[in-house]
Amino acid sequence: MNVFELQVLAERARSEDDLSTRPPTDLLERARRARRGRRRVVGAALAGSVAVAVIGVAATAFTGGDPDATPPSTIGQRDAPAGDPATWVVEDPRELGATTTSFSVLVSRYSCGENGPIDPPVITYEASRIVVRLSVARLEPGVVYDCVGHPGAPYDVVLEQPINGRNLVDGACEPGQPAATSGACTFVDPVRWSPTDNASTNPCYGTAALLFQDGRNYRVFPEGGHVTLSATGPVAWTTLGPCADELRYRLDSEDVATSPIPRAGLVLRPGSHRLTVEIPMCAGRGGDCRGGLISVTSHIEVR
Amino acid sequence: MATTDDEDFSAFVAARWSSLVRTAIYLGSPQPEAEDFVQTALLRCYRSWSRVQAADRADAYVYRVLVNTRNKALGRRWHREQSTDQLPEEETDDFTLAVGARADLSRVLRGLSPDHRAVLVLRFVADLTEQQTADALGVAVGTVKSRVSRALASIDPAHVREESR
Repeated sequence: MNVFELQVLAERARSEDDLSTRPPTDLLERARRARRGRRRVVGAALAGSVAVAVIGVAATAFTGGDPDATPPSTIGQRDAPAGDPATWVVEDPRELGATTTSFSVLVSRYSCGENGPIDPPVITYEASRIVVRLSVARLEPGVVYDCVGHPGAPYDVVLEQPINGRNLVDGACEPGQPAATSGACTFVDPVRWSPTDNASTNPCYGTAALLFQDGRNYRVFPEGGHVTLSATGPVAWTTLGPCADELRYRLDSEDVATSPIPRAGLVLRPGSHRLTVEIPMCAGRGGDCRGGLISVTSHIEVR
Repeated sequence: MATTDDEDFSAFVAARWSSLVRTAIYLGSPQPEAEDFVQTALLRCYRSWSRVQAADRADAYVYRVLVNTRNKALGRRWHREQSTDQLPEEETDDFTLAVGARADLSRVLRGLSPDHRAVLVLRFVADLTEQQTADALGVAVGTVKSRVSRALASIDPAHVREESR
């Protein structure tokens, strides 16, 4: 089949078109409501989480960025964040590219206590990197807060300049910052996104995610380019997604080579673990692993 | 958001809804799912509608969001899998199951890889230009050309009915 033949076929299909569909009458109202609710901190859905880390590599150079609404930040107007330190990770690295000027992140308060409102970021533009420092509202001093962990709260970062070949760096991880030695800055790369992450056009070269949740057992479940450690009740094992043929893990405490994650999931003994999950990103089950390997290492405390 | 933007958004939705849904269907989604994806994509675009409109290629922008929305949702699909004692809906209303050119086009697309399918659907069903298709897929125009070429070359002639050729 050539281009002309396909054009003819598509044209004929259009001429036969009796597709019956209409936009919902309340779409505009729902859009308004969604926009109003976008910036609210969402904590309830992930209550009990200890941390969320999303590390990704992506395939695309999104010419427009994600069109999520974010009021322009007060970029350059302050030297230091007004609130308590918070770390962040990119929500969907696949949507970032050289010309991106806005992107969504998941923000987590560094210290104990609820996330609270997120302050506008302080963004520093350098030749090879863009440093984004986020903070959350200060908590009342002298109060002991629960350290139940912070689910990532979505926030839209707006840049004054396109990324244009620079790394996106979490300013909370800069030397001297309170969170610089925390797991969010050591086990997870402070360079939250790099242009080299987009080196492949393999659609399977997607994101790898680790979700640590409070609980006794942590299970690893793959999901087409995603890996989730979850303690949220029984989850039926399903086949690996099209982009991850095999998941392997290694526990530093056991000092052994990586092993395949069993189909029943991975259950960790109580104690402190440094877990590495490796995800070969392939074109499909049994396909060519042209996407390379994603390795995610994190620290987990199992009580 | 200004009332003018709301009016523009509503006008855009009215004008593009069917085309967006059709695109999602030919990408491989049943119509109800396609409508959900289009709704979600439009809701996302509305959040910064003024920026979407200001973009040089607003249509490509919206299609890009639609493609991303669909890919993201399908990537998370197994989370939604649940056992049920209810039989799935019958597919008798499947837009693409009709006879004629629509069915032929569906057969042709069904045999392609997701990449190849997406580029052909955006280019020939959504009728986007090469540049718009490149923007919508986040690839270079040259990549669009090569994917179209490879996609066409990979179409199994058996999937094309004689009268369509």
